[in-house]
Amino acid sequence: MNTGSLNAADRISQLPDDIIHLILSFLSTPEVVRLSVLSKEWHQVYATFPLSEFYSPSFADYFDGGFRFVIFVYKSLLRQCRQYRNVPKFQFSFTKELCRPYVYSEHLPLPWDLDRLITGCIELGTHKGVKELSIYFSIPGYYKLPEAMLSVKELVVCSLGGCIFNGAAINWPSLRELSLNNVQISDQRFIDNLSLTCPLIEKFALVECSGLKYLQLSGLRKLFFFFGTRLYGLKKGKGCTKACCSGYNGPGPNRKVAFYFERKSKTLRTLAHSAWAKATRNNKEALELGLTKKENKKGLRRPNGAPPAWAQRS
Amino acid sequence: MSSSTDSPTLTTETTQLSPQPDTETAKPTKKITLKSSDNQIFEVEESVAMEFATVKSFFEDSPSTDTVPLPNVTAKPLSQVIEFCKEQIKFKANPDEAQKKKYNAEFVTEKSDKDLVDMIPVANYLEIKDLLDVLNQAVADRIENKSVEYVRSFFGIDNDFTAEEEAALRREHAWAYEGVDED
Repeated sequence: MNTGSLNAADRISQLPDDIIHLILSFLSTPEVVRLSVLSKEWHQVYATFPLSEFYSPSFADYFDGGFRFVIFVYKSLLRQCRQYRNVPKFQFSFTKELCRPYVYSEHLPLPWDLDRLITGCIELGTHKGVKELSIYFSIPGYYKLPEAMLSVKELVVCSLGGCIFNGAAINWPSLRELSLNNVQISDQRFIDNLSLTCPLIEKFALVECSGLKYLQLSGLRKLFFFFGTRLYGLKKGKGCTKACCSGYNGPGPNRKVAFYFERKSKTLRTLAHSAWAKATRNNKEALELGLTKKENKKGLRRPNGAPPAWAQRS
Repeated sequence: MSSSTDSPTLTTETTQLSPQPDTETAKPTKKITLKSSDNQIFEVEESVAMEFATVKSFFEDSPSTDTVPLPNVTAKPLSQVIEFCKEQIKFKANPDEAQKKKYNAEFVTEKSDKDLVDMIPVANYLEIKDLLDVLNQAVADRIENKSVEYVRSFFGIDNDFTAEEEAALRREHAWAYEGVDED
């Protein structure tokens, strides 16, 4: 142990780096960056801190904020990939103010060079065993996710927004929580193969998603929470309902199941009904459903309160 | 091998009612003496001292001692850390998450900046993980959105950058300095 003189006012800088990293981990990314100029010692500590939250609004004041932001993200990730074996957490959010000078019409896609840099960031941030991933875009149109990130075997919690991805390329064998918000799924096989590609999934939220013709939650033995609302493009009709529920047996015994669906959608309500029927065969615990009063009287319990925050995140 | 080595003639203390040193009745009364770097003596119950991983391993290495010197720890933060651990033991015996949260929040809000910062090296040295988490969170809350100068005086850090070096670093990440609170 270093004896450290008792009078030294600055005992904090003598602490091991990982303790200071713990303090930094409670702060937002711009704050951590600011603290790098405290002293040479702290600059050193900052230089090994694994930044994981990247939100573009900090750069909104610059005319080339989009590029500045993406280059900052890219550099930070490159440094971490050199220093650490794993980059377990990556949160990336890109908003439309940043494409202002390049996008003269609201409907033009991102400039190609910016687009390529963003793809580079996402690939860097996800290729070293990412466990917790969150990617949000708020730009005109959808951002096409690179295929490399659709197959990460360590991924546990994933939350995507404002993007489009190839649903057939998914392979997340460790995934437990998936939240898709304003996402375009370009291949129905995403749902068809879910029990093979994400067999451990427990919580699943679909909000304002398009590209799915039907929902089939078959073979997902661990799934106990589903939240679905404003799903565009779901086919209506009898055949669909059947397809929707085929094979959902509910999770293991004694686990509570919760399904929340948009109230007005008849298709989804029918789906909820049959899912309930199947799930209760294995589970004595009641299944919670987002249904109307009349249905509630038939013995179905309504959810007490809104869906949990993780399902609502935007 | 192991079973035959303990007990008989070792008990020199006369007051022991039971032959085994670690019975249920003997435990709560046993006191351990901690000596801070400024030579102040703290008598704490064994259960409290065992919350300090460093003290615990000290005892495992040399079980016969009754005074533990803590050369890196001064009296004031040590007394506060002991206060915290006493409360945590109550919560351990009687789990109540809401009360515990409330106590932890009160514990840090009533402390001065200096007290908080002084306790971190102590909590780290004694390896009290719960306290370290509470302190780190509290410190982070207090320096949130503050200027670099404020944080320097908060931690008592000497700036060893030259003015030019610091200006260059600030220019490099100018975006991060938008929207900082006035001190």
